[in-house]
Amino acid sequence: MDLPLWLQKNSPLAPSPSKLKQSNFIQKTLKGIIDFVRESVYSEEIALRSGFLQSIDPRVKLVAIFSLLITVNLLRHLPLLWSVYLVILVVAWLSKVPALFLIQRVWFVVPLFTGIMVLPSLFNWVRPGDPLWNLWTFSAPLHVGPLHFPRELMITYQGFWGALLLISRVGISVTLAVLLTVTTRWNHLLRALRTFFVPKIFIVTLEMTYRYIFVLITLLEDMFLARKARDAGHSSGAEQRRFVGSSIAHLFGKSLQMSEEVYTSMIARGYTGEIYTLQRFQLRWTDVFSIAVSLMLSLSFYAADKVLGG
Amino acid sequence: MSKQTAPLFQLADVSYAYIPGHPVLSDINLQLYPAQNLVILGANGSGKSTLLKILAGLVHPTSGQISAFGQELTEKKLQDPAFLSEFRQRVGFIFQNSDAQLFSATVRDELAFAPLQLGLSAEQVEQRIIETADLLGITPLLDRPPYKLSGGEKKKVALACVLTANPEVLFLDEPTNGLDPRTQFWLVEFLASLQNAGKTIITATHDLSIVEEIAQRVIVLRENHTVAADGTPFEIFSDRELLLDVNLIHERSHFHIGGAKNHG
Repeated sequence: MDLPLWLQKNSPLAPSPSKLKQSNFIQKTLKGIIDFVRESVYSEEIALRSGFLQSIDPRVKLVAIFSLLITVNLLRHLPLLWSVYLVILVVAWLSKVPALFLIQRVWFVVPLFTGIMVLPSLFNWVRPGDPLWNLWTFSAPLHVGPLHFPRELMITYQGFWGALLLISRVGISVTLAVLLTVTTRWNHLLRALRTFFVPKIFIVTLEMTYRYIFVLITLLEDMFLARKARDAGHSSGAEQRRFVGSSIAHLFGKSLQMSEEVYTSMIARGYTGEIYTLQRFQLRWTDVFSIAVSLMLSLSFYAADKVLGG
Repeated sequence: MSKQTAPLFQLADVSYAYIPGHPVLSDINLQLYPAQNLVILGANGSGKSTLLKILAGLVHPTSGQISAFGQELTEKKLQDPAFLSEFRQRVGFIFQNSDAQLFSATVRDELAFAPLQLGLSAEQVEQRIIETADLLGITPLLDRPPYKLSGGEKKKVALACVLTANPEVLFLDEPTNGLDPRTQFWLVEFLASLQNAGKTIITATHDLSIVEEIAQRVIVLRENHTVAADGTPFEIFSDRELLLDVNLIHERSHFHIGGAKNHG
């Protein structure tokens, strides 16, 4: 085998780019992939710890958390709402879920999104009410087309407390959902849903989807690493976007091919359109006790809210 | 070779083409006998995997006839629930890509899939899972999701999830691909013990090092998708010209019969 001449000796080094591109799609996607894997591994690790919530039957957990969710969204008094949050933090501590992780995961994101939604309702121009903080006084009332606005622009008392109530409700609800998902393995959670009449085929499809996310993400990581391995810093943003585009197409083709292979392997093991699974949940006394406590707690909070009136 | 017994599979003039005019298998005539372990040998793209899938009733020939267990094996026949259930129980398939084969959320579910499809009771299924996992040394993996397994572990789980249905005939597509030498060795030994238990093992491979270990009969596919030779491993490997002709070895490949048997 005769190698061409240029292959027989090392080439001179190519000129290095003057500066590296700031928008590196490839690097960002790789980081996203690694974060995803790290996060799912961490969640799985929490779900396997020997804590309080981890030891409870997933069906019970689902009912208990659902009843608390309803209660949280019915409560109108902030102190009551935050006492529920305190209870949740205690349960999280008993379940060996780091409080900091739970707080960071919820309160860094929820106020931002819910905050944007409730922002207009703070002001008297959208929701009239008692003044809390006067922001600006115009010389005359404003008219924009058919709309008339008062001279003062202010944050209202009702708007402020309403926004705080909504943000608290959303944040605490999300905390409950996060607590449920990090203390329950994905497949157990889906099994539990089956008890509540979610069709089996729907759950099996979800299970398989979750399973193949990992196969496809490994493939994606390989593709991006292979691309990175040949990137000397010369590729333009447009070129990188083209690569991301074509990798999406490739991944789509690959997942289609994979779905055919998976289907064949199901057929080979006797699949005829009906899924059978082993049901292995068993209720124990602690489960019955937990469900009773959570229902009682939900009811008492709701009753307290009614008693306080408002 | 136990040619006195009735053949398990019979292929007459079987051809297969994904696109008309581009066959991946041409005029295959073949008889496979119970407990006669067969290796289908061929270069990349010679049609080994397709032949295996046709035998396992996963794809159906574009022309020619195939019969399995004394009955004609057609797409229509496999729609008969009684035949389908019997056929799927008697035939197991281990795919080259373990990721495609392991689609359940945990290894335990994976092992349960086939016996549950066959209608075994939950207790029987649990029993089989425990025993098969123990046999293959995968008990610690039972509650793990498949994406957390190594390549070798995946192959063991893929094998286990087919074995829980206890098939008579086992098809393996490139079973040693991507396995480290130790796991490869383990696989060969395991297949030998299955063979001693009377299972028929049919393997498609281009890994010459395992052929003598696992086969009593070898058929060689040519790159034009026809059968080039059919004989014992000794007969096939003695014919260097043949192996060169079908592009399985290179002119300068060092290859000698009995090369794989260096472990006593």
